[in-house]
Amino acid sequence: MSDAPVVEHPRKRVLGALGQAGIETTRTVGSAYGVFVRTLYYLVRGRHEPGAIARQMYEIGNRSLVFVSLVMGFVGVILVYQGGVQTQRVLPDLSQLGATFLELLVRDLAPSLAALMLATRVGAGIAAELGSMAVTEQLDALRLSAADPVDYLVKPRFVASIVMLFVLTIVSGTVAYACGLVGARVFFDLSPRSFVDSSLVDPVDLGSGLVKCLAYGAAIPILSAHAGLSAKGGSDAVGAATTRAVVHSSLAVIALDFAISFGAHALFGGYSR
Amino acid sequence: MISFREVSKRFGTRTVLDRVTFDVPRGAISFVIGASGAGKSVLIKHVTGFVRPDAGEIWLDDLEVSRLGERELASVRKRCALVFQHATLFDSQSCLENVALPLEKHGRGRTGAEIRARARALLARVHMEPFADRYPSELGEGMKKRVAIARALALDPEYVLFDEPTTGLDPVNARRVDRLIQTLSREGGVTSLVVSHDLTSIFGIADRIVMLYKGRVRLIGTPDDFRQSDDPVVRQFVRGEAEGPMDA
Repeated sequence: MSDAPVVEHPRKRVLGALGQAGIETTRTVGSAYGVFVRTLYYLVRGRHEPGAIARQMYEIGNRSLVFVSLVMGFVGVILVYQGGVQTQRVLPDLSQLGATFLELLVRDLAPSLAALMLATRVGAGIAAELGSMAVTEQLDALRLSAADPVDYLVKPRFVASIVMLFVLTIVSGTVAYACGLVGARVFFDLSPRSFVDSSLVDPVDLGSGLVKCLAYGAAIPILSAHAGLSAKGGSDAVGAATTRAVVHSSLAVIALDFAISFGAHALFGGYSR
Repeated sequence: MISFREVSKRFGTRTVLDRVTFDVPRGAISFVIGASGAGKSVLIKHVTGFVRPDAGEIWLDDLEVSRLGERELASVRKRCALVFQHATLFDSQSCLENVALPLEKHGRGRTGAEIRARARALLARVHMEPFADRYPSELGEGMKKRVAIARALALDPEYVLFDEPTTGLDPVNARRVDRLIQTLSREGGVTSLVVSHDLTSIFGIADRIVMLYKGRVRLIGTPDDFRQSDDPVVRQFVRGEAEGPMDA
């Protein structure tokens, strides 16, 4: 028998790597789906502890409020400025600036940007906390106490995240609109009366925004908790879980944004106005 | 009785347990000893189903634990408590809440006041009742370990598995833990399986010792059997000698 090393064809190697990545992704999605299903099960059958949900609502909502509002305030000013400048290149009429900005905020920007920020701040926090518990055997200790970590740790975060993403979207969207209004006044001398215009916002925009809030609010804690729960090893595993949580949650927000926007477009024939 | 039958476990290319077979008799205090990395902690985690064997069987009386699903394991974990090497207390809960958690989860028709009273009694048993309202971050390692023991005893388990219970404790607290294990066994009829390298504990309270070496059972016997053993590996371990046949 020859002792010569077996040289693998580069195409085979690439296909192998792709296959491996595909298997890993399928496994991760399947296992995260398992966490989601168990969370739904415990929503119906698990313990009811309003205190745990309230604590998580404070952690997820109250403690993100300043960060999310600040960023959305800047985004509001930047978008109105850039939108105004671009519009003026085509026609010197900014009467629809406020209405278009509000439509964009309600339909997409407010929920999606708030969710992306929540994915970084809250997603990382959930993964780090649960990951630390996993590597220090606290999750096993919970199981020994007959408490399923999904019921005990994931469910309160799931409920709190959904509720607080709605709240954060409304508050931060309002801040973005208010800051946009100030920006329109400063940069284009547009009066608040002509900026504040909800004529372009229709029920489809509102429904689309609400569905996005619900979907993002559910996806972020599930994917982040899944990353934390599957951490194995030491502190490096917690770091890896945190990174995974942010990447997966952010990707999920973008993918869900696309899917829901596409779905709304397909169902309602595009946005009505 | 806990029975390990030809239990093998590998992590990657490393064989941690290689056809390990022995019994843990009811009511006795059995120790599993061996060098660090010998697979002792992995072995006891098989009993609660946190680690699954690659081959072999683990029996808890007439129940084959290694075949049970997560749902069935809940009843095993109720009968068989595990005190982890690190205290694994929940940081966001006080000592009292930590100990009360298994009682709340298993309910048994107890009111909140009854659960708190029982949790306080358990803390008193490990001399931690004065610290009931403190949080784990406010306690030393030894105190945390005692609270973890109190939590493990909350459901009156028939079996308690201790993973290095005296590691990191000062000698006084270590001997207190030894005495607690002895009391549980002698007065409560609890079967204890203790993983340890603490020679004072091993020769102080063990009824039976199992030594693991390179993933396999090296010797099973009483403390006297170990003291009198001619096996150079056993002799090196029980004498705590730096030089000898055991790998570094």
